[in-house]
Amino acid sequence: MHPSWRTAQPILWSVLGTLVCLAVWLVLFPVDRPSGVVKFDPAPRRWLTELPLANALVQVDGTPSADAVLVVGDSRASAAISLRWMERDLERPAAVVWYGFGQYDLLFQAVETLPPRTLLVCLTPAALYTPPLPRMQVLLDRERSKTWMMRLDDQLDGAVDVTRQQWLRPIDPSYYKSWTQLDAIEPERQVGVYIDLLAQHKSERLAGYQRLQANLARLQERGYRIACVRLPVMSKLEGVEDREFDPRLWREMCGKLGVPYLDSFGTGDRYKTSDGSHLVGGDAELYTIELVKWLGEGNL
Amino acid sequence: MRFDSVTFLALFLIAWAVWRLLPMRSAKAGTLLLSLVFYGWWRWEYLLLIAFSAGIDYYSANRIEASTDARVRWRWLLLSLVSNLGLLGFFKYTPLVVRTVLGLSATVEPEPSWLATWVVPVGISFYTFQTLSYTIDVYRGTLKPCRSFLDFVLFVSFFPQLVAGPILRASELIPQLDTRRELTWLRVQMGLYRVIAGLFLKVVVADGLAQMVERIYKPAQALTASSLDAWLATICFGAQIYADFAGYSGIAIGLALLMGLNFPENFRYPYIAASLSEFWKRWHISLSQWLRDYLYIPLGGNRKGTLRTYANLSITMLLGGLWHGASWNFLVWGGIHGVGLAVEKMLGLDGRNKVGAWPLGSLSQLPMRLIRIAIVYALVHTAWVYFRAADFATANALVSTMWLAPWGWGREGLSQASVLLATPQLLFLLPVVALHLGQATHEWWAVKKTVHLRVALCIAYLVLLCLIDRGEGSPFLYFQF
Repeated sequence: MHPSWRTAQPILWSVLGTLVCLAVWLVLFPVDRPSGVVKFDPAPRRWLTELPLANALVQVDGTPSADAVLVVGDSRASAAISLRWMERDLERPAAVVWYGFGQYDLLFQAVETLPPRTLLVCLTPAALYTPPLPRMQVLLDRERSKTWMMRLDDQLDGAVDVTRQQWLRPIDPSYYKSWTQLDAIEPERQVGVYIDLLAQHKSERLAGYQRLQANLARLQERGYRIACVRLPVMSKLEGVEDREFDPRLWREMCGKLGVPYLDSFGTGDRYKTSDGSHLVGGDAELYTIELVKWLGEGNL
Repeated sequence: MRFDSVTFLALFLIAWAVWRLLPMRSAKAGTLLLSLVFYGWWRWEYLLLIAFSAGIDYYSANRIEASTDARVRWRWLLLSLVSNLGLLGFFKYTPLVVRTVLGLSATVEPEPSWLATWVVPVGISFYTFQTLSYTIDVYRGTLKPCRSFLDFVLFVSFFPQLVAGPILRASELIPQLDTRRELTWLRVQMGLYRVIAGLFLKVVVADGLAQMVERIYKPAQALTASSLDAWLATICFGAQIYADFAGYSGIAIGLALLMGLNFPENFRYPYIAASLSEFWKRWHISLSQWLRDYLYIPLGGNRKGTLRTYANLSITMLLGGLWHGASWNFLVWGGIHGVGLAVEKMLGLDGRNKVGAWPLGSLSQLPMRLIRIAIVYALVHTAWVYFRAADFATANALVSTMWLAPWGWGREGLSQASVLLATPQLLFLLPVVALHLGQATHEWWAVKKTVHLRVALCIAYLVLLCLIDRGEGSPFLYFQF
């Protein structure tokens, strides 16, 4: 290769120009500013595929180290809690273990394979019992069928992407607003979904409640520190949940176990949701700040 | 292995060092080994198929060359044709045949479970065509067979073009493997530019548009879509597939440049075409040239009368459609292009524009040329519906909505209009337009003189690659062919 300065110049100018533009971007849009409509929460992600009796693909986001707070729940937990804000305010690592329509039985299997000993359990009746969803099994099967090379690719690409986002805030994805509005289930329909869902399998749900209580007690005995929370949803949905599953049972369970319990129902639609059930990004951060304050008061 | 992955970056750096720094023979062996790693990374079993295809063609070509008996030569060619097309046919068309037979049977037969997990080996359509062209060229006497098996397997499996083209001819690549070309800064500069532009097209443009397309092309959505929804999604798909495939080709060409090799161009601003025949001189050029040289001309081309010419065009495009995939949708897609080309020929509207010249012509020709561009654009995009839709019914519903439904937004009315205004994904169409005009300008002005434009574009591409939230991403569309 001839070291000709003239023909090498465009490469150098391109690199230099890019660095200058990125530096300007970094100054104008620092990484730690709040989220827009979509939550900005760059965190490492991995899948748990080898859990015994798994019928869904369980996801772990964040840093589940031994000193971390581990949030346990379904998609509602993943949407409502900002790990970025939790880590910042708690000054310790945070992670969430979850999957869509997450069931406590499987989630606690996952919890026991992870190092954290501090749990924040997000309580919702749907997670006590919802019949297995075939599409969740499909996701699990798809992940299991990957070769180790494919998984390595996923891991490396994911790690690079998260690092990029942690260093350099990407263009605010608020333009997704139009998509989230159009693609999300409308709140009224979501309420209908929950009415149908919770009207069925009440006895299984009560059995699930007993198992949840037993699981929490067992983990407590093994030295886990636990807190429970009911995440905010649209007020119409609160009515449906409370009608179909007695909310006093949550308080009763936490009282019996002696674990702190925060009930975020009754906030009067203070936090915006995309579909009545899942908080949108900026409001998830506001909620997380309040939640962390409460966790701090309880010395969790 | 995907070009936009970390493992590929690592593999390429090793391959570059092996190719540029080792003695020639070791460099070839090392590059071959790395190409096989590249291809077998996700499924090593597929390597057996490449080995089979390459082995048959290498041996057949040598036997053809060694014989002067026309019948013997023909038999060896036949062996190569049957083996390669048999391999391609078995893997690509078994599901279509089984489903069609099941569909035709009087009783309702359940679909066999193995059909659901049937996988077409990545890139099989590309490398079988590549090896076939080699044997046919040797049979025709236009190419001397390759004496080194190592060189031949490297030609077949050379990683930048292995899984999605461009479809190279042996005469284009094998001679380049004999001597290591000097790597100048200009070559490095151009190579990096092509790779970065290709990544930008794939990651920013194609993946960005994919969401818009997917939303309307879901079978349930497609049935209720309005005419403007359908047009918008289809235009986005036209841009997506262009950005995706031209992006891949650009990366392949750039990687080759960085290694000191030249690959032919695969795209030349195709949506500026003013006729379908011009479109095929600009779109997936290596495939259309392959189809012309190894299918259309052997069928008789335009030498056997007018009707036969129309039939040959239609057959070539129908088979070209089937090459893309085993479904009736691809057949219809090819059929639309075939019939369109025949009609164009009938009306004398084909091939008047020299590709490479300033595509918009002189000022006096401009209005008529713009009208023709619009007609070709609409026709090509109507055909894209069959290419993209999940099934025939969805495609038909969308096409009838596009052409027959009253002009307007769907039931979501204003919210759809707000999507149009508030969705920067649509702005991602602009780079596609810019790229078309940019390429045209580059060719017109000669690319070496536009270095400042290249630097500016490169900075914009790199910055956007760093700043766009990529999300999940998706494999290159042409990997499935």
